[in-house]
Amino acid sequence: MRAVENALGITIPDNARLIRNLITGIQYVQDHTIHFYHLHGLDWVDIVSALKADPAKTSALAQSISDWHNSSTVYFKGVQDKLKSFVAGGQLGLYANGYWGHPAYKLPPEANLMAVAHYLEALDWQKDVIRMHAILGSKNPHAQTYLVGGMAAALNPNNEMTINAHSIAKMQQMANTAKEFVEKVYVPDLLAIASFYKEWAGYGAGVGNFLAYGEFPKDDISNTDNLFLPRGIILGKNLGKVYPVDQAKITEYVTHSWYEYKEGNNASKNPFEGVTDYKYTGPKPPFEFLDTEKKYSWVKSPRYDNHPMEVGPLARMLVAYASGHPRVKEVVGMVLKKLAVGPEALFSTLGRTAARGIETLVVAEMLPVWIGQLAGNMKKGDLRIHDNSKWEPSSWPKEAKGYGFHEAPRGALCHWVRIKDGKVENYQCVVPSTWNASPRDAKDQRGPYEQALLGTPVAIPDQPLEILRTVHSFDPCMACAVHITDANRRELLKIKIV
Amino acid sequence: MPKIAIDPITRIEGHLRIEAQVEGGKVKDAWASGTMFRGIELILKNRDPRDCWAFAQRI
Amino acid sequence: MGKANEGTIYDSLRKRGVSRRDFMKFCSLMAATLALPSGAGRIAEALEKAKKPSLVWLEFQDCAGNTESFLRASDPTVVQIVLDILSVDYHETIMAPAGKQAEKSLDDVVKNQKGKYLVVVEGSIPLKDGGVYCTVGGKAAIDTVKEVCGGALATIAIGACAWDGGIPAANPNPTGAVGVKDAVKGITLINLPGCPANVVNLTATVVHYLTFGSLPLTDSMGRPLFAYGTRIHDGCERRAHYDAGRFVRQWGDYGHQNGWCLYEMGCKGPETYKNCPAVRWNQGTSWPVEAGHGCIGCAAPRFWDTMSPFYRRLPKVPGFGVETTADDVGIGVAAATAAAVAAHGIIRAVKHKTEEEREEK
Repeated sequence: MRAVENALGITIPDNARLIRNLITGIQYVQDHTIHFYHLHGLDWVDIVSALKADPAKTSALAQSISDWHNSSTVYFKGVQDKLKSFVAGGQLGLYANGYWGHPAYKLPPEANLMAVAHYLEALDWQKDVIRMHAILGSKNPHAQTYLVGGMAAALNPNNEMTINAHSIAKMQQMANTAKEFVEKVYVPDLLAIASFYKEWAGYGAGVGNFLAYGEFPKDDISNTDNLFLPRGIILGKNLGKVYPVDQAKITEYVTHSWYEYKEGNNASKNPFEGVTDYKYTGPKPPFEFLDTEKKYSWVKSPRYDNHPMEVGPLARMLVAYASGHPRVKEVVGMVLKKLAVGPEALFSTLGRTAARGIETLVVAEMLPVWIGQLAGNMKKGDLRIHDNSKWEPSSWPKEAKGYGFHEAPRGALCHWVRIKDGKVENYQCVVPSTWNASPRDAKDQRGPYEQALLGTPVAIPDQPLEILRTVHSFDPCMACAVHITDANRRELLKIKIV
Repeated sequence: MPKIAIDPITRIEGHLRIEAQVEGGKVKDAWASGTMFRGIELILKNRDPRDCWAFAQRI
Repeated sequence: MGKANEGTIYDSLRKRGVSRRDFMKFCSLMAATLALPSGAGRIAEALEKAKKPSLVWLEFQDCAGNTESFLRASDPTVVQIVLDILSVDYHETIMAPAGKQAEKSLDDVVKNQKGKYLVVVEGSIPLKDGGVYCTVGGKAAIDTVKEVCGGALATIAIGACAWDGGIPAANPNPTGAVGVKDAVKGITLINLPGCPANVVNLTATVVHYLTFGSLPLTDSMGRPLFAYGTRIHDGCERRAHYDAGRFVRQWGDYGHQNGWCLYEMGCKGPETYKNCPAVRWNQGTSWPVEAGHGCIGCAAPRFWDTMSPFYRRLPKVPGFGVETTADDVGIGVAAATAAAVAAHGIIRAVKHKTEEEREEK
C-alpha cells in the first residue's frame, strides 16, 4: 500500500494525521459515553426505582467507587427531588411507557439514582467535550474540514483565524475534561452496574468471529502495521491467533436482502464488483410480519471468507488484546479482575458493553498525547496540513480504483471506489452495521445480531427489555451516518492504476 | 411457532426491526431487518470524487 | 413565584435549580437569536405562564444528524428541553420504550392532543413504489407523516432531507424521496434546512411559538427569516479579504494560514442564506468558514445537486452543457447571483417591515 502511495506521490502531512486522530478519538469518547448512558443505559437502569433511593446511601455508594466531585448526599437528594417533581408533573415524555418495574432490572434503588444522576451529567458533558470537533472540524455533527490529501484546518501560531496556541489550550482542556469523566464516572459506573448483571456474561455471544481494520495511525497513514489499535481477524473465539485482513475475501450476499444479482440469489460479490439493483419483494405496508423465509431486509450480508463477522469495540479490543497491545491488556485485565470473570466472559452482551468502556478509556488517554504532538509540530515550524500534488483531477490517471478502511466508533468500515475520467464510476460501502445487522446468507448463516439473540431470556414476551439489551450492546447505527468521518481520503490514498 | 415483532427498535440510530420466536422464556430464533433504503451508492455515481466524503459522512 | 406559576416551564426550570439569573440569560440569548431587541422580558413572561407543549420527533430517511445536533443544544440544554420546556413524547433515538410501547407513546399524542402538539420531522419521505423504502412499525413513512402532521398544531421540518428531500432526493433520487412540503399538503409547516440544521434555530423557533403564540415569519420557501434572512457572505468574518481580493489559492498556503477568503476554493457562502456566521456552532465555538473550509451551501435548495462539486469555484448552473467555457458559466452564475441578491432585497424589505410592526406592538 505504501508503494502505491509512493507511486502516486501523495503524502498526508503529519498534522493532518493528528487532526484526524483527534477528530475520530474524541468521537469515540463522546459517542461511547452517550451510548452507555443514553442509548443502552435504560436497559439496565430503572429510573422509577431511583425515586425510592436513600440519598445518603447513594452518596456512600458513589464515594466507594470513585472520587468524582458530585457525590454528596445533598447532590443526590437534589437529583432525586428534580426527578420527583418531573414525575409529579405528569408529563413523562421520553420516559412514558418504559419498562419500569420489569423483573429483569436488578439494580438497587441507590445504584439507579446514581446512574440517573450521571445520565443527566453525561448529557451536559458530551456537548462540551465535542467542541473539539468544532475547533478542528468546524462543527458537530458532520465535521467539514476533510480534504482529499489532508485537512482544511489551517495552522498558524500567529493568527487568530487558525489553529493557534489558544485553540491548543482549549482542546487540552476538553481532552482533560473528557478523560476525567471517563475515568471517574463512566468506567466506575460500568463496573458497578455490571457487577449486578454478571449472568449477562452468559448471553449474547454472537457469531464469535471478529473483524477490525485498526485505527489511529502512529506514523504514515498507509502503514497499517503501525496503528494504535491494531488490525486483524479472530475466528471461532480463538484469542490465540490473529489473522491478517485481506479485502479480497470480503463478499456480499443478497439472498435475504431486497436486491438482485444477475448471477442469482445465492451469488456473492466483492464490493469492487458490487451492484445496487434494489427490488422490494416484502409485504405491502402496513404489515404485521415479514416473510423471513424469503428476503426480509435492506441490509446486505457481508461475509469474510464466508464467515459472518462481528465488528465494533469488542472486535477491536479482542484483536488488540490478542495482539498483545500493552494498555488494552492492562485495562481488560483490570476489568476482568474486578468482575471476577475470565476472558471468555468477553464473548457476551456484557462483554460487548464492557469492551466499549475499556476502549473509551484507552482512547481518551491518547487525546492529550495527540494534541501535544500537534503543538510540538507547530513549535518546530511544521504547519503543513495538505498535500496539493493530487488535488486537481487533471493530475489523476484516467482510470483508478481504491478502497479505504476506517474504524468508526461502531466498527469496521470500508468503501470501494472506481474512478473514471475524474468521476465516480462505482461506489460501494460496507459500514459497521452492515456486518452486524446482516440477515442470513446463502448458507443460512445468521448475522451477528440474529445469532447473539439466540437464548436471550424473555421474561415478559410483550415487553422485550432483554432483547433490547443484546441488540443495544452492539450500538446499532442503521443509518450509520454521522460517524463516517473520512472514507474518501483513504480511497484516493490507496488508488491503484488499473 | 408464533413470532413477536419489535419495530421500531428505539435508542439506536436508524431503522431496525427485530422479529423473534420466543419459547420457554427464551429467544429460539431471530431475524434482523433494516427497514430503510436511500440508494446513496447510486447517488454517488458520476460525482466528483473529492466530494464523496460529504455524501459518505451522511450514510 | 406564586401558585399561578405551578407546573409552568419556568416553575419546572426553577425546581430543577435554574436560577432566575440563568433563566433571564437564556431568554436574552433566545431574544438575540430571534433578533428581538427588547424581547427577553416578553419571552420570560411567556415561559412563566406556559404548560409544557407536547412534541413528537419523527425520523424517516435520515442519518440522525439533526438528532445529534439537537443533543448539542446549549441554551437551553437538551436536559432542560426534555425535562422542563417541552414534553418530548416520541423520539426514537432517545426514548425509553420500543416496539408496541413506543407506538403507544405516539398514538397517545395523536389521539389525545389533536391540534395541540408540535411535530419535528427529520429525514425525507420516499413516495416511489408505495413508500416501501422506509417503514417504521410496518407502516410506510408517508402514511405516518400524513396522520401525525395532519393532526398537529404545526410541523417543523428539520434538516435538508425533511425540507426538500436532501441527499436521498439527489440525482437520480432512487426512492422518489421528497420533503414534508411535498409529502403532505395543507399543514402549518416551518422549514429549517441545513445539513444538519443548527439546534439554535430549532430552539429559537419553539421559543418564538411559546412566547408569541405564533410561528416566526418565513420567506417564500417557508424558512424563518431570523435564521435564513441573511446571506452567509454578508456576515462572514473573511468578507474583508474578499473585498480586498485576498484569496486562498491552495489548501495550507499563506492566505489559508492567514484567514483569507475561501471563494476560490469553492465556498458557497455568496449563494447561501443562513445565520451560521452569527450563531456559529457548538456553543459558538466555530463554523465551517472560520475552521478553514468553504461553505457547501447546505441550507440552499437541492444543495447536493446545485452546490456540488463543492470545490468548484462556481456552482454548477442547470442549462449549461459540459463544453461551456468557464467564462460563460461565470456570466450565468453572475446573473443567478444578481437574481438571488434581488430576491434577497425583497426579503430584507419584508423583514424590516416586520420588525417595525413588532416594535409597534
